Amino acid sequence: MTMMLSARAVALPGRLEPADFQLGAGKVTCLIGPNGSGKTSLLHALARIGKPAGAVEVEGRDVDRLAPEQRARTLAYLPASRDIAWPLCARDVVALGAAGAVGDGLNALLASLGLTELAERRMDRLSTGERARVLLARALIAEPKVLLLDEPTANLDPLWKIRMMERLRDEAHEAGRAVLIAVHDFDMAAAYADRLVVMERGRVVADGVPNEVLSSPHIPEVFGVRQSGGGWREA
Amino acid sequence: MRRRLILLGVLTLALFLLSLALPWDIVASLIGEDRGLAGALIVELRLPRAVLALVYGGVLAASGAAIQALFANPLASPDLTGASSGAAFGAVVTAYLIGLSTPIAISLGAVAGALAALGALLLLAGPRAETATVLLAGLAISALTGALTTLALALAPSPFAFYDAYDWLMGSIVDRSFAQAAFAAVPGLLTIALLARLSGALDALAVGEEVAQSLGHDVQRLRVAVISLAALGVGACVAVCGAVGFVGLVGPFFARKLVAGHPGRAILPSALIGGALLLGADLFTRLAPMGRTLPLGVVTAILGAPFFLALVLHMRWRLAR
Repeated sequence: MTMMLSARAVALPGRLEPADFQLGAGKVTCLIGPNGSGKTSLLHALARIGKPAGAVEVEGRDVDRLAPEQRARTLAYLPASRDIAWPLCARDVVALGAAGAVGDGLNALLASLGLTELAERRMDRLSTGERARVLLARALIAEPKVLLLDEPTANLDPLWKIRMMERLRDEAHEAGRAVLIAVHDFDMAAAYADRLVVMERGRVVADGVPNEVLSSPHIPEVFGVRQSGGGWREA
Repeated sequence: MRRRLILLGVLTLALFLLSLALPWDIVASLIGEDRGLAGALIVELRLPRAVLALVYGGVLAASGAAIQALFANPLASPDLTGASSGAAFGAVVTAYLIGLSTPIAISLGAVAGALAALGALLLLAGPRAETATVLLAGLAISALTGALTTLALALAPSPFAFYDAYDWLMGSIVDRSFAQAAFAAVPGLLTIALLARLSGALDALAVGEEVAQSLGHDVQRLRVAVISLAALGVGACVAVCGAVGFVGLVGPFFARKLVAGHPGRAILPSALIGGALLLGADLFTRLAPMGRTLPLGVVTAILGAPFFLALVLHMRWRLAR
């Protein structure tokens, strides 16, 4: 497997213990863990948010040394919050993610995420789920090599949850991006991830093939639930 | 977008040239009698005044756009955040209480006052405060610095301090020399140029702090840079021209219409609109049939206050929908 992202000793004091972390090109990695386990902190450390320790390289280039335009083409981060500080319209929010001029690609991207009709509407007039799709489009517009996504399917209806996860899988498998997604849904992680990482108290406690990780003793230990007859019950 | 900016530039240039030429009857009569005197009127009296109007308007609006982008608040501006009154307080203390009346000392005092006011706003309201919090904090800072300015003038050793400072405090660009214009224009133009360089970072901040940081922007440093630059530009201009209100609110509002609402990208068009607004307001003070030249700050307040109220009503209506 070709490594796309390689992190050395990334840490956020009090939130994430120092850890090395790699993401493979063309792979979807899902990150699971209870609330407060450090999923967002790991995403922040990899996206270089909050002045984390350590270093992150994408295709051998130190992310900290990249200019904003290069950074946008290298790595995109989707925050868990769907709120936008300014009352911009959806099209302008997406255009802000582009590292340079935007062409016809913007309209095609908006159409692929069902946003054509909403493109001229202001963000504060969209539902949370619609804003999530706009922010995903913003993350995709610069065609970054790495996608770091914090609960991208939260607030989406079932159809758009499936569409978004399929889109992210295509971004990895077809476009060759490295995709890291923080999720809460075990079944969704099992269905779409090539690799599953479990976090607890700011550190990685399990990392492997999704079905093997989900049936390992780590799940009842970390989450207090166990697999039972195709579903999940309290352990 | 580029065409609109060029049109804006042409409009601003036209107003600049008009402010050199108008009122034309005085120039025309002097040309008939003494061409040298007509030239002196334009170059020594009207040119510094036009330069000050252009640069001060540009600084107020560019700083307003940057402060609004930083606080994510379209109602933040140098006057409503207390920066202008803080600068006036700093200048008054330096000139009348400390007794340092050289232009450089007054400018430094004004910059320090503006910096203290904006720093206090950041501490009081926080970086992403609600509109009401920013306005209330700004109002408190303005009220305090306004009262302290009056106190400083009352305690000043010179019995003529109030009289001396009155015209200046009302905002005026009349009878300023080239040297005075340069004291405002050099830091003012520097402020506009450096704020414009931050437009990309401020646009990224519009999506959110986390996204801005993930693109490599140091948000903490960005805050310090915007506040320091706004204080430098506003302080230097207030030291020479006194406090002029509302241009920093009106300019960015119209500039954002030209740049698809992007708060950072609006900085440069804001500067052009602000310059045009103050040139226009200054022309109005000269040409209005009132029998005398009106104080510039009074004209901008009379025109700007209804705009501010309309903006508040518009925001209230939008929130109610």
